[in-house]
Amino acid sequence: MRDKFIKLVKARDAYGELFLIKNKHFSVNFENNKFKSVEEGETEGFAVRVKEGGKVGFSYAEKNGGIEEVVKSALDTARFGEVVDFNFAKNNALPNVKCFDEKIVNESRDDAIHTGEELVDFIRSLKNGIKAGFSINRNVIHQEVITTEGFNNNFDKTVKVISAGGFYAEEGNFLEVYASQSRSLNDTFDLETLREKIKTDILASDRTANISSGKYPLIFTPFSVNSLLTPLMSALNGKNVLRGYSLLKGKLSQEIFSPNLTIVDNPLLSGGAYSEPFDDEGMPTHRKELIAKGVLSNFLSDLYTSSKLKIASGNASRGISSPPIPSSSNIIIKPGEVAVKNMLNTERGILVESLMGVSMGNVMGGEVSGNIELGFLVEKGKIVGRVKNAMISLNVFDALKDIALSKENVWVDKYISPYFYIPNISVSAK
Amino acid sequence: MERIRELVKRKDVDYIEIRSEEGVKTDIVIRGKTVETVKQGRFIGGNVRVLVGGVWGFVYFTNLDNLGEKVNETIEQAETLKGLVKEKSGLGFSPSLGKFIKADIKNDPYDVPLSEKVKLFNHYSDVALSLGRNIVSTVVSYSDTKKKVYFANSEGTYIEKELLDIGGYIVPVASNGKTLQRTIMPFGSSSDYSVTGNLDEKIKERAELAEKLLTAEKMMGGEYPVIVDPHLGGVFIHEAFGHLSEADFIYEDERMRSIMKIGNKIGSDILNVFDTGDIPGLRGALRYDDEGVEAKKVYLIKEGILSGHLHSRETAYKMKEEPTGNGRAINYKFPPIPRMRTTCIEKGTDKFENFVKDIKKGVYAKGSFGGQTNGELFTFVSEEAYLIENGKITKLLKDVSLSGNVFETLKNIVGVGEDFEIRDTGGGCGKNGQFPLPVSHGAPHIYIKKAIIGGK
Repeated sequence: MRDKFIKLVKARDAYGELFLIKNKHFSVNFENNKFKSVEEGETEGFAVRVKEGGKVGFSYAEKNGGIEEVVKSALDTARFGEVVDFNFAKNNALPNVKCFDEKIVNESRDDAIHTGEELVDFIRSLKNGIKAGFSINRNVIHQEVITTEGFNNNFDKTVKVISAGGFYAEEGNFLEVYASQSRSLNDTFDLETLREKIKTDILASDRTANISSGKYPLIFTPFSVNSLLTPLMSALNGKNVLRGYSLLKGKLSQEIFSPNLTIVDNPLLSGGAYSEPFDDEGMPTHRKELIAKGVLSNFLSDLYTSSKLKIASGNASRGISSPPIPSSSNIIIKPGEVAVKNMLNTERGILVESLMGVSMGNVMGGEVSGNIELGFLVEKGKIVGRVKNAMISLNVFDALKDIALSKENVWVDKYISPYFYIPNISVSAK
Repeated sequence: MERIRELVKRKDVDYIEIRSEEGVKTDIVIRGKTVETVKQGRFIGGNVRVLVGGVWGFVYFTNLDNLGEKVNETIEQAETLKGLVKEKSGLGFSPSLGKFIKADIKNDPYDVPLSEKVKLFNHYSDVALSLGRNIVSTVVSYSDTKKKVYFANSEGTYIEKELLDIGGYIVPVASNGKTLQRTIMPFGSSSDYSVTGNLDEKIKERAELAEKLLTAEKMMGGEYPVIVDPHLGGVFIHEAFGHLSEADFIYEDERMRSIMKIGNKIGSDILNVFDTGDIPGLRGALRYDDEGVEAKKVYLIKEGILSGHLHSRETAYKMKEEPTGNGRAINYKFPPIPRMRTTCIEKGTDKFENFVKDIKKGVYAKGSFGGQTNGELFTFVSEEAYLIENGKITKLLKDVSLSGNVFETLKNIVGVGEDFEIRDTGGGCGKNGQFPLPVSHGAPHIYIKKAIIGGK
């Protein structure tokens, strides 16, 4: 198929890129305190990009075989594309990245079930009547990229995701706690942190704290940083910069945030679920500083946006059915100097564990507006109780100008992040 | 795929089903002046699900060549799990049948040349862009999927169904350099490509609104009376009560079973809510679900009283209720779970004008960018919202998101309009990693006594 692809494309005097993925998926699932199911799957597919007359076309097949049809279909769509001035990947030197682990491949079903039983028992022991859930999802991925420009390489990768949580229903008072970790190397899991997070959330939710509308300091834990940074990550995406959806357009090298903030995209991180030697266009991956001490220093970019914005690529990401777009890998936020203990030692603040609805809001405009799905009122270092029926509303481009970060950090799925302290944020309550 | 009928004739299992599908998909994405993506793709895949001694086995694959082997593999998987599962699963009754369901297609997008589609959506992007200097870009998205699904089970049911799904939106993006605002013109259908036609005027309206939002004010956060339009009302009932009615959230949790017991007083007396597969042409239209069960109309709330749940065959079995035809899977990679189809608040008798007159200070919220729920709390973001002061609609508001407690809010519905509208959107519903499943929702204008508005 690979040779045929090159032949078909060259016969048309065109350029081409073949992207292939095979995935073996396995999952063990517990629901409502019980072992529930095992699911197994084997899928494969491929995608083709062609460049003919400077225009790019795309097609894909979520199946095995049929390269002629897909190349033809990609050439068909090329006439609609814009004229681009980038070339598909050449045979570049690739970094050495650890993202495949035999231990994950060989983990037995019974071991996975055993881990589940232990975690479910642990969660059940924390609160009478709670319903615990758990899952292990394991993907063994084989990825290849082949181009007419001479790139021909592949890698194997393992991604394992452990999720656990509990649900407690009481009229007028539902509680859902949840934590997950995803890694590519088995030894990088830290289940103790996962257990600790679930325990803290469940125990702290025993009491409810009433608050009124007003301004509060907010403390985002590493588990909710993802929500807080949703608009920022969108604005750092080269594609959004190019299309005019990013308020950071034209602000490279400007100091836009607090000097405490340094954000790095690191696809080389050993054991990261988003680590790999080359991106989904075959470009070598590399560490990219996005925000350096508050200064905007780079955007996430693929070949297309790189050619337009004149910045380094290496951040292309895609599934089989989509052309590549820039996307973050593992995001590492530099810790600060404040101990979490001191951060909580505020007169009256809200500790935010999870927000609901942020991604539907005006993300492009920087809005982080959402219901506090799980959060706690803290007074002078003590958790008073769970805050409910309250919404926060902030603009990330203003809010990140004045922040403090904790010394401690936690590796959640995509993020390795400290706690964020943001003073004076609007909270609407009933 | 007739061969799957033979493969499910097994005596050594309690139940076995094979579901396979193949199809084609077209996507167009245009941003501003740039045609960013035009793509065509094809997919094929299947799964085997078995019940052996009350234990489920599930295996999926893209390679359909060795189906017999996959059947054995799945049975073996379930066999080895027997000792580990504490509680046996089962299936609610479903009559066996043989059906060949052709999609009820009025205008087939696959009769339209790709070049014509690209031209149309390019035109829509231009319509928005030409409107004013503050319209800096657009996001135009169009997608259609046509697939054939084959289903056979060991109870003698065999279904071949053809499905069409069309969805998309045009989003004008306005900016004055300091802030960005957007609005949305969604469309969708399961039968008619012509939903993509004649949108110029509506797009102009949306683009004008996006510009106006740049200078609109933000509401002071707090609790207010709220009127929601039929579109937002539909999103509300989907998020606030539809998900809660899905029986996999309820069936194994005694506390949830008591909270969601049929006969419980759940909303105000004027509230009637149903979920159905039987409104043709909508994205949520469905004749038979992915377990071969007829997709019946189910009342979830009748005059404020909880009156039904949304079931897969498994949840129906455990709750000793009838399967409702809500067992849906987004594709062959997933087993069916309870999902909504078309979920609506039934129309009432009240007049919209009277809602407005009744409000001293509140919000009229229209349209939606989507919603989310965790069972008890819900939140959604409106597209367009206005301040109501002393019985009159006054100012345009920006970035309005609403939130509340489901149970309190259902009881706080004090008015149900005499109008009613179902508007299909281009997105879909997400649950347990299965996104975007085509669903529809509708409602009349709804008057809610109080909800929380996030604001400055």
